[in-house]
Amino acid sequence: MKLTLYIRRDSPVHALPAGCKLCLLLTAGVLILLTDNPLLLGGGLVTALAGFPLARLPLPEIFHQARPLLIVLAIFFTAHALFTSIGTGTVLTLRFAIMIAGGLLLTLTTRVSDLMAVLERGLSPLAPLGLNPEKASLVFAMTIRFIPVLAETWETVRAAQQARGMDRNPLALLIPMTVLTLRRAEQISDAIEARGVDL
Amino acid sequence: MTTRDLVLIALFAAITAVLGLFPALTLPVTGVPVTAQTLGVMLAGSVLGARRGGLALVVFLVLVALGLPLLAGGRGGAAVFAGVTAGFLFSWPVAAFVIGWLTERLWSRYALLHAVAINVFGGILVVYAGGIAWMVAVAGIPLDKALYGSLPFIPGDALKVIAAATVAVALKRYQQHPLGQTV
Repeated sequence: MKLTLYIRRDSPVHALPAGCKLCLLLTAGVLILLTDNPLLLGGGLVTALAGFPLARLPLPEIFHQARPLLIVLAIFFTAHALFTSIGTGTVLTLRFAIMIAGGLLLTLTTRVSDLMAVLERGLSPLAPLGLNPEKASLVFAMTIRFIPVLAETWETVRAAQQARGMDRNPLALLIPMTVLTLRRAEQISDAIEARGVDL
Repeated sequence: MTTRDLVLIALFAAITAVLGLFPALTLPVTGVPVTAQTLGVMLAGSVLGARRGGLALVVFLVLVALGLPLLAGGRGGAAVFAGVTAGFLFSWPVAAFVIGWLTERLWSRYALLHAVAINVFGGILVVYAGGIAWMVAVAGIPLDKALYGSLPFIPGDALKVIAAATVAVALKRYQQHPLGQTV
């Protein structure tokens, strides 16, 4: 199971630090709200799209990620053209398109671990409010680790219920799945505490 | 928060991700995919309670935003939070929190009927309120169009409500429910 969308390439977009890219995306999010001018917004979209050839990303992967969002965007534009006005539809669609392109570019060119490091640094000022960045990063790391484990558990439960002819009943899968997960929580937290991890 | 709480948050964030592995049915008219994933929202709230349930969904969404392809159909990344339907995503942690809060309040009398009512309120009303408010306020879609566009998802969500409620009540009956354990 591939648990990342990151595509490794040797490009200036990839080389840009993760925090820098995240800041650019957030700045773009504010800037697009400051103007209603379709030409300026169109320019913004062209700038965002220019990042893709610059990043040397493979087209199929871009389309796989962008397709569902583009379909919704097309319906969205049509709905606006029909019910409000083409002008409003164009401005709103361009705004969404810029953010979608920027977000996609960030995701495809940045390692999850790099973004996680940025997040940790971003969370550390919140420590006085009771948010412990170490706890937070442990939870993120555990979740990533648990996903393949739980997918396997699901498959085991499904096979067991199939042997009983019950694999078509969602409850016969969900209840054992939840019980096994809750029991596992006990074992894992005991294991963490037994290793003297003080949280 | 104890270590056990943190582990439970991570496990239910992971369950929500695993539920996204099931193929999504994309409805032709509106394009919003029908997925098993809101079942994760209902389960997290119904099983973990308000704080842990809400946080499990926050963790899940943060990981999606960081670029893990955890949404149904293998989607993820910052781009999905800029879409027309992103309001549904943002409402997930709130919905899990609300479901958990109500479950905790009604715990002593918690039975199938309560569980269904709570999950209809949190898992359907709160989620749709968030999703539709975003469509109207951010995407400028007229309210009635947003409402009609969301209606086709109600039957699927009703099935998920029944599933989540049955699981939570079964856990209580077998004394496996975390809210029933005084640790």
